Amino acid sequence: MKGFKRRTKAKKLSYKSVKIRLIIFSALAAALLVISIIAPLIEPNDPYATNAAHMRQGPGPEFIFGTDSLGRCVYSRVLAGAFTSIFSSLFLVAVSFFGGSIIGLICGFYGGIVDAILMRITDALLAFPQMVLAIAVAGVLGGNLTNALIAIGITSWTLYARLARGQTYSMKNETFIQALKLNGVSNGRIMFGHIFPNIFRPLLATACTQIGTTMIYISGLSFLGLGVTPPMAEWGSMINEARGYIQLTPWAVIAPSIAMLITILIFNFFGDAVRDMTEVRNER
Amino acid sequence: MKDDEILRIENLSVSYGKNNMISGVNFSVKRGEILCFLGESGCGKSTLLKSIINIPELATVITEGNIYFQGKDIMSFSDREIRKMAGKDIGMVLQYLGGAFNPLRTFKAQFKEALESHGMEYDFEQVRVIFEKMNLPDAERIMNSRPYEMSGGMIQRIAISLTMILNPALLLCDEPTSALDVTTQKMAIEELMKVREELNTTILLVTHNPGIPAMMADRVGVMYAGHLVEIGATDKVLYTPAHPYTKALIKAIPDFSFELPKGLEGQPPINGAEMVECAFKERCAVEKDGGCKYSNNPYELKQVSENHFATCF
Repeated sequence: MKGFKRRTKAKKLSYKSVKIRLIIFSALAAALLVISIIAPLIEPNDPYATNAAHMRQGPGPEFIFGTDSLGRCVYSRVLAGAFTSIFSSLFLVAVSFFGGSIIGLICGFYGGIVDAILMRITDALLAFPQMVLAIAVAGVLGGNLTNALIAIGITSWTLYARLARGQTYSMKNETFIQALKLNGVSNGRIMFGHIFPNIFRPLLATACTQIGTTMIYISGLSFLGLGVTPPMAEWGSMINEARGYIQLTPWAVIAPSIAMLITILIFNFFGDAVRDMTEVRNER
Repeated sequence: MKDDEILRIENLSVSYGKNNMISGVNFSVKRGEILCFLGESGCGKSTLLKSIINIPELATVITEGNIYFQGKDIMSFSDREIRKMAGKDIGMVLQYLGGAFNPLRTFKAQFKEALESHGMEYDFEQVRVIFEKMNLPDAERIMNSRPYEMSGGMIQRIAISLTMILNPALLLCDEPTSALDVTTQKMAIEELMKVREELNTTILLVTHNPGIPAMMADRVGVMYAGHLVEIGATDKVLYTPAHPYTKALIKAIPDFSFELPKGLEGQPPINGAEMVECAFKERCAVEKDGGCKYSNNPYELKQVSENHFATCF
């Protein structure tokens, strides 16, 4: 009994610790965003300039992370790639968050045939492994960043749609929704002015935990040659380009990998902190 | 149809999807009248009120009968027309127990929204006056706060105020005062009566507290197991009840005589609205004496005296 007690105690999140975690990781995430935006200003070298004289140089004072097989500065390319990787995943998460939520909201609110059709579509999409479907779609559409985003976006909205639908279902039976209807407030206002703000928190928490995953997907497609087109700097494609020379220039693989690892970790921790925050808030 | 008739209900049967909860209800209400429905819980009085506004969220399904509001058949209205009518023509106050407003938004925003939905202007002065009558001081502060900062009773009063500001011709109140303490209850009732005097609002009120119709109602309807068993002028129904159930109900009112009130043995039948024979049979004192006169048409309202009808007397 004692051990059980201790475990439940340890599991319980304290508001203060979650708050501190949230502050730390939002600060780190914000720092990453700032760095990726000001990257062109702080790059020591042109990330796209090839130079045969500096081919495959190890890390040193001139090139902090060394150079790749075309003589480009890996450090500058990692910085330039941050913008592509971070903002494309943020953009995709935002679009699928709003698109999926609105679809789920409408389905949950009206129910009926539209709901049935849309939910069967999400069932069908969820039946495929997400990455396999993305590879297939990106392969058909051709490799560039837009198509990669479309390929991942095809399935990513379903998560928010299902969550929003479920939340709307329980929310629409709240007495205040009845009261609004009895006072003659229109469906549109009820959906977007009352239900959406009330189900926003769990949706946002899910969106935040999805940033890291989305980044892996985009970089994964780029690694397979289905994402960004070379020579554009993106971490996944950088790893792919340097892969052939991994024994000669390991730094060209390691630098973007570590950058990706750190970024995804920060965004995952940030997402967890947001999710824990909503839980702690609900308990309070 | 008479000119001053605002609502007429003919042979109404309502279910929540399967079995009828009320059946064969007939009555009409005049403009400016206050009609109270009394009855035990589960007798269908709330169902009756909900079926009048009949928005899908209240889950009522009208299986038979007609409802005429201001001469128009409500059941032929589309969802959109009903929503337009809701609030402005027919207002409804539920027993909200604190959940009447969106917890995230200020009362001001929610008042504004309801008013704008009917093309009306938000006027703080109007709100302040009604709030004062409802025993809600400092309207400014209330309007700028959110529902979680208020007690359940306050929210109930704010909800009643909002319904009144919308100024409906017909006001349906489903136990609006049950969540209020005795003194505030009195103020809310006085306010409802004032609204009727000033604006000639018709009020249909459901309650299980017989003191409320005694204070404010022009007529009282008594429901039992899904049937309207007695309806008539307040003093006639409350002081000279005709139906054996009403008699028992009035006897069961607790008073200050320091004696336990005489309750009614047994329970109402659960499928009372579906029954062909008298649903009150099991508990009826007259039936036990073998004096039942109306066993072949137990649910037809018969005239007892002027403005007083009962299914059995």
